[in-house]
Amino acid sequence: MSTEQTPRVNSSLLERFVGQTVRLVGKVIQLRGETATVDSTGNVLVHMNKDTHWSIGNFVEVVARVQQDLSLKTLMSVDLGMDVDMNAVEYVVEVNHRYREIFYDS
Amino acid sequence: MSGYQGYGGNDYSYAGGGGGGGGGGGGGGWMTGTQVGSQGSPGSASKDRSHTNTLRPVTIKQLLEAQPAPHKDGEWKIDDHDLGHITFCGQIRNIAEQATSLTYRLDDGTGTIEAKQWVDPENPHAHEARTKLVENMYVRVLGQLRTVMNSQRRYVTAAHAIRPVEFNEVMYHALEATAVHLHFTRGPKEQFASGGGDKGDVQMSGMGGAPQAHSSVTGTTAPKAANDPAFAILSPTGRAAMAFISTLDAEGAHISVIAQKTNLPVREVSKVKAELTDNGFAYYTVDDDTLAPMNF
Repeated sequence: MSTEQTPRVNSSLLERFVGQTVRLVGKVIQLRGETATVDSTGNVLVHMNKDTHWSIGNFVEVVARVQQDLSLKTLMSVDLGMDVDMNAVEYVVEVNHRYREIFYDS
Repeated sequence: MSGYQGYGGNDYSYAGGGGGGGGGGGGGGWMTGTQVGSQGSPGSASKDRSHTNTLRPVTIKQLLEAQPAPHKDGEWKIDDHDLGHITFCGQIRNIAEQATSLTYRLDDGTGTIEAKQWVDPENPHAHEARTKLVENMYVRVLGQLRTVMNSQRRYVTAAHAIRPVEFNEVMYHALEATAVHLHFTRGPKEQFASGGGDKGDVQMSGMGGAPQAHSSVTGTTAPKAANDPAFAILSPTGRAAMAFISTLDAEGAHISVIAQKTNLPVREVSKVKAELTDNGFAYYTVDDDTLAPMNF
């Protein structure tokens, strides 16, 4: 069951989840070939997969594995468009870990 | 004209589906629980019904960990509270089509569960409805928790209630599910109005309500205090402001006076003006900076 869980994180929480699969929402600020920079309360380097078609300025959600260097390897992603309330996203990240019992097993 | 007929037609068929469909496949999931409850334990029938009419926002993890209610077949508890209907948001991972139903595998990051939706083959709109839902899309589900017969596997029956949602709703849902979980496990949030650690609560720590935070949950009886249940939907600042405004007459008071009396910065009081007026707690009198209480 725990393999199906993807805790919601932002850039500052990545080091706690090295080697694990997480869910991160952020704004695409740069695209270079196979990688993208995504701002999720700080910049994160994302290695895209072949299904990834993002636009700069759009918000995306990635389900990805956290690498040793704290970059993300995309397993799956969704383009969320321009209208995302990042305040709400930040609160959800916070409660994910503060009230973990309803979100993921440690 | 056609619009009007469409509305009337939909309205009628919806009502018919809920009631008349009870004996068939469509309503089976919705109706059986109530019938079993009243037959199995007539004495507590009214009590049973009270929670089958509730709707609780949850995460999938909470559904997977829900406890079977003792002595009540097919019923569940989460945080030791009886479960009625549930709602959650998740991403569609897989759609499996059967002759009379569609099964969606849904993932919200906390776990995965299947939601089963019955399809009336005679309904000409059924196909349109199902093609609107595709893999990876975020949807909201409204239904009831069930187990597969002769198995421990859990799923959700969702009669007609799986619809696409925008991503912000997914976030709001997660926050709502958390709030309800905290309500059931730690008590109503009002008791934390002056002691919480959140940014918005910090300014409250010096307030008159602070000593009450140390009393028991049931010990907060002071009327029209910042923790008055009537103000429960307001922000901490809004509650503090209303605690003072509710003592005023129809003349009201300027926000600078409200700020002074509540020990809040004028800027903070100014920010909650719209919250208080939009929610019908207060209204503007001589100008947009003077508030008087509604219904006090």
